[in-house]
Amino acid sequence: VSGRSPQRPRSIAAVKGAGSTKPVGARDCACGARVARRAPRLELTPLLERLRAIPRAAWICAAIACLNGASWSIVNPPFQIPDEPAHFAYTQQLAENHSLPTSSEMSYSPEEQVVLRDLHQYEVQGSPEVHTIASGAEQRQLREDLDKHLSRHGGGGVEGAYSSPPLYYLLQTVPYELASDGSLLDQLQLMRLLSALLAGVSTLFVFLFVREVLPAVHWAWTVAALAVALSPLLGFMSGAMNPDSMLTAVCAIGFYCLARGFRRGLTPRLAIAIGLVTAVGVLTKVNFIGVAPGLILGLVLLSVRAARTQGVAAYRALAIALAIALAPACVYVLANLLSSHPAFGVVSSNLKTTGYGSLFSKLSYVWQLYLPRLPGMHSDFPGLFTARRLWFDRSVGFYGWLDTSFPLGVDNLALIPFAVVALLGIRALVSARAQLRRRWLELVVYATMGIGLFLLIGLGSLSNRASEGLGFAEPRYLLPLLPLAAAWLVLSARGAGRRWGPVVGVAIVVLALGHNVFSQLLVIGRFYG
Amino acid sequence: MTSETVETGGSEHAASMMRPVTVALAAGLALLAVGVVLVLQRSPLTQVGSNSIPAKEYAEVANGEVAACQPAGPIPLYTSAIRMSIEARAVGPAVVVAVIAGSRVVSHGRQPAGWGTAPTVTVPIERLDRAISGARVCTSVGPSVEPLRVHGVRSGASAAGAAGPFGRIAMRMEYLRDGAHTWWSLASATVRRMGLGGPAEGAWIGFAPVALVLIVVVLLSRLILRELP
Repeated sequence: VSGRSPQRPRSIAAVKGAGSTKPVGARDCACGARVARRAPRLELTPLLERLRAIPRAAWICAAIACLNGASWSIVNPPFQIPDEPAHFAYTQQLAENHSLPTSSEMSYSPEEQVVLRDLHQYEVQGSPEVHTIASGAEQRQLREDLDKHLSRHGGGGVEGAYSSPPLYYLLQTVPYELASDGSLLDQLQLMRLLSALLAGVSTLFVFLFVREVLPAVHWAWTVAALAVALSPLLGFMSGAMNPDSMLTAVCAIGFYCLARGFRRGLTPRLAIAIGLVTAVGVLTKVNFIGVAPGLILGLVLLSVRAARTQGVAAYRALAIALAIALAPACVYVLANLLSSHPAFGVVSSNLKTTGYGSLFSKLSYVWQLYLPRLPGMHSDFPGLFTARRLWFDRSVGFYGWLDTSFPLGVDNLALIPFAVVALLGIRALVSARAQLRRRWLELVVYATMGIGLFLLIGLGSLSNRASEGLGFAEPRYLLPLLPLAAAWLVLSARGAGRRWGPVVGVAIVVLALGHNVFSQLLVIGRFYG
Repeated sequence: MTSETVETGGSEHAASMMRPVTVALAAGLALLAVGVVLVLQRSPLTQVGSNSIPAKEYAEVANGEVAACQPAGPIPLYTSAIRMSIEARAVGPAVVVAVIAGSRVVSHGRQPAGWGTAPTVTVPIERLDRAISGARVCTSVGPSVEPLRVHGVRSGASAAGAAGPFGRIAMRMEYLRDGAHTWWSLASATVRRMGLGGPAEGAWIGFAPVALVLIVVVLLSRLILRELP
């Protein structure tokens, strides 16, 4: 640093030693004409410097997540992921009819209907003993039908995706249009690759989140981010066309912004970023509503803290951020009210729990959906250990249209590493309990985000119990909490101590890789075996 | 956690830990490779028989516990699982199966609650070391948190020994055992099949995930060796 002019602050990248120490715009200042010509580049400089400041390990972890998602996009047969036909139809509706879906009926385009028929989608879905097409004749039929260039205009009915906000689908119209000269299957593959890219974004921000939350041990960030990148559940959903991939990425960004705020203080720019993330999340998937209260709570708490040093400016930034965050919800409510629908539209009908007993019985149901029944609770799930069978076993492996899982022995075996990771994490927490106490406010915010999501899923499950049974009990709905799982992995690696920590870290990564490889083999065996 | 200090490690410490990390990574990857080979040397479960009842109709079974016995038909040698035509909406209940020859239980098995959306559930049983004819299969289902469907053929009279709603329908059952071919020997057919029904044709599609996983392994190995002390 010495010997350089103090007039211009050095970039973060330069301080970290990554990239050139020479300010990017310095050379351009020598010539006025060149400066004018390169003005956009100057504006990009802070962003580029920020990107350069991200450790290379984070980029590699993100690249691994993308590659993993790409692999899953090949392993997953077309339309053999929950609701993928409906999600594709939603995008097609936006791209071809330039309007939002009109109903929850099934009125896909003729092209999609024919492809689903040729792929025997309905026969394969949910029937593990039925495999994908295998003969040349079936393949020829599919190709002939694809070459007919049937109509891509559907009737606007997209089944369950009807209640979804449009942002993810709008984004998916880009690969849809890019591949529009090809077949429907080309379009679907490119759309899946966009989801794989979003897995990279998720992993990148998970890395940055654990770096902010648990900054002490550098190598543990890599361990956690690699485990996330290799997570078969993330790979499975990122190798598909499903808004869960974007929701996971948005939530990872949200967690990172909060962690950055708690560690470094809230700047107006960060406050607005949190507001933007909230708005984007609300427009991505309804499930984000479970996470949003925690995000907004964090924003408010950080603003109050920032006001001690920044004064009114902090509250001004908070107001702008809240306006941005709540704008989509306000527009949605207004549109519903103007069209004589319930104020919260499908959200209110999804979470309508009147007629399901008292508040206690509703909370009891939600509790039992995740945890063992407590004394005094009526049994809502007789004979079912929900924590184990619905969440743990299904996290170990639950693929295809929720019809493909590992043999029971694998689930039992998985309990061992899970217990080891849990115990090591607890050990690390106990040894860091003094720091935990100091950071209780931050922990409350993360807990609010988690509990909010659990509540949303639980109440959704309760209100849809008659029509969908326990269809909401899918671990993929918990993917937005992936950053917290990653933080636990960092704690576990650190809990093993200075000597054995790195070895445990390697074991965690190799286990994640093995889990991923065997999961892909399971899916290959189920669909193509 | 601003009070935390950054663990720099120190070159001496890093050098002392490099070997365990390298050894752990090499051992982990080797174990993984062995695991993959062992899994591929196994055979997929294959249907080798059934009780000859078609899954033409179904009966709704309300929440709760039900049990029924019905004739099994011939059960082939080495049967190690029975695929029962019981359909769950989202979460299947526990299914307990007993194969009874005469008055003796010759095999039994259990599938715990929690299985997913499917028109059938496969219950692993103790492998039969002989073919059996004239046996009965007794099935106990539940308690169930959702209504179920039992597929088969409606029978005028209750199946022998039936109790509860199962008595209204004779359920289709299929008998499974390890196939004659290992996954290795099925690999070429599997790879060929992966090249059908997708955006591109050809067996190379089947090798693409392998290549991607290998790239991932190389990347993560280099990253671990570089980043971990």
